[in-house]
Amino acid sequence: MELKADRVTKQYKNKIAVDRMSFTLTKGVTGLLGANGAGKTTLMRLLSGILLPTSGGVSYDGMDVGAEEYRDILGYLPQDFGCYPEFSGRDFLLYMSAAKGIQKRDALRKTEELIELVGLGDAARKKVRAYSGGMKQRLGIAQALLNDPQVLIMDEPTAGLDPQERIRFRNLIAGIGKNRIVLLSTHIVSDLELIADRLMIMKEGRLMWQGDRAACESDLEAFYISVINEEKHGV
Amino acid sequence: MLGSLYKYELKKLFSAKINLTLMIGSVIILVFLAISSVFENRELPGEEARALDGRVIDGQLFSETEPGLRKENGRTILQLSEGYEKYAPVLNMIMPLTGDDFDFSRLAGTGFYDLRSQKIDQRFEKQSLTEEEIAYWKGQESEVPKPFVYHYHSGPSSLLKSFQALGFFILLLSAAGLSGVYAGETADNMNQLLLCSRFGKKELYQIKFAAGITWILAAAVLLILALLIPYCIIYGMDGTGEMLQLVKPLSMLPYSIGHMLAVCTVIFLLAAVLFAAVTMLLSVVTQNALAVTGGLLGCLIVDLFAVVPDRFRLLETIWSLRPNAILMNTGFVNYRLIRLAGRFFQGFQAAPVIYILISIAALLIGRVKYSRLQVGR
Repeated sequence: MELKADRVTKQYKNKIAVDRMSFTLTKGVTGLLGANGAGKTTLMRLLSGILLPTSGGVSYDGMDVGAEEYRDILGYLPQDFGCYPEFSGRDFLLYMSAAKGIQKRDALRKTEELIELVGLGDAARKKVRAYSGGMKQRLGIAQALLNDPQVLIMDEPTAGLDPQERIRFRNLIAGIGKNRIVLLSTHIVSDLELIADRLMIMKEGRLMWQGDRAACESDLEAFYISVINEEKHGV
Repeated sequence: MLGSLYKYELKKLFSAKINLTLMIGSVIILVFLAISSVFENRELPGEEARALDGRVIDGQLFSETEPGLRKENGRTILQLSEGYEKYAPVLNMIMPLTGDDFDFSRLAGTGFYDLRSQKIDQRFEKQSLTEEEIAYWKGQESEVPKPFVYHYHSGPSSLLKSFQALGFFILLLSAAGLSGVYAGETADNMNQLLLCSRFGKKELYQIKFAAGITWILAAAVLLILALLIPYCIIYGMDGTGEMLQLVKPLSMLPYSIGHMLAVCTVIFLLAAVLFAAVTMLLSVVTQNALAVTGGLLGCLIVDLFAVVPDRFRLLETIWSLRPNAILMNTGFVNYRLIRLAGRFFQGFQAAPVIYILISIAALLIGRVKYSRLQVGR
């Protein structure tokens, strides 16, 4: 089980958002660190198959990420997404289940399970328009997990979550990451400190550092800043 | 799964506030339009309009009508004075031939039919019809029974005349209600979730399209009912089997009003599908709901005011095939024909086939565009 990026590049008119990045993701939680504008979201879109690279490619066990089979095993949580305000939280998850091709009976079971898991049991029948930012984020996390994805890509998943929810989310991801590929981007270093098995650090579209969490200094934040400030840590 | 997806796509459309508001607003306006026809004396309800039932439309009937007409500066004006209201249907037949100001003596004897033939010949000449086209129409005309016999037909004729309004309403509903079917997902940042789901790149496109078509057809049926029910209550539906010429005196089609109501209903429903298909195609291509709505409303204005001169035959023929032209009933007095495989087709016969073909093309082009959609391009 490996998700492989091979010299993947995304260029917009005058800006290179992702610059010849190569890496391989395997089972476990990989943290993607980088400042705002570093290219994390673009990279995640490339890995999700919803954005085509200008050059290079991304494959999962040799299969192109544009394939339907890949979408079948993918869970993706984007940074910003709008749920349908007229839908209830439950309807939203059932709709996403249908889009993901989950059988109706399984969809109902999985939806109820995830609603409880993300702590939306009391709000499941309320319209999404009445949800707070944190509740929407939890709904987003739930939809990403609907199809029991083998590859889980989450862009700033802890944004909008309160401290208690962050802890619950961390524990959830740590459990999921044991036998799946999980890529989690954030600019909050402490989110990764306890759960990341591996780290990738991006700056201005380039991969500045990648390696095991154990290879980093114990103070992850200090290590991140040193990598960002000193380009000597080349990949 | 696909059934659930379809159900939820319908839910999105039917629960969207703008769609609900527009739908209810349109229904209210159409009901008001139907009710107001009584107050504006466009049609006579009840016994008054049945007073002339079975009367032959000839010089005798016109001579009975003439004393009831108003006179101004020695000229006869086609407006009835009190006590002569029952002759309103007679005036409705004369108006398309004469206009408001008219020398009534020309209608004596078979004058009405001579005048009608003259008007038709003038139109043939203006539209530069070929000998074959004229022969086709003469053949149609020979099947129209003469003299015309008046029978009460206020209900079905009111409905037939209202199809033009229905055409505008359905375009408006399509432009505002379906412009966001695909573009809205981009605007709401939902595309990034949908496009990376299993059915998000292919099946979802078709399901959204099917839901859009279902919604517009439901809206179209509702709009028809918004007129049909009040007209049924006010006028009844008697006269559906009467000749079309009682409503459109210049028509040479040997059909009944009911026949043309059925034709208009089919064309209206297909026009709704066409509008929906084009709206959704533009929604995929532009990914901008506001631009789609604005563009289509611009087309509506052009449709209302643009006239293509008769001398540009091909252009005028194409222009006359647009849904609102056919629904406006001008299709029944537009004598230009479309020749295909050695056969002549009238506008209202060719239009449905063209609408279906354009709708299928829109579906296929949209599918290609949708499959190439990317997020954050």
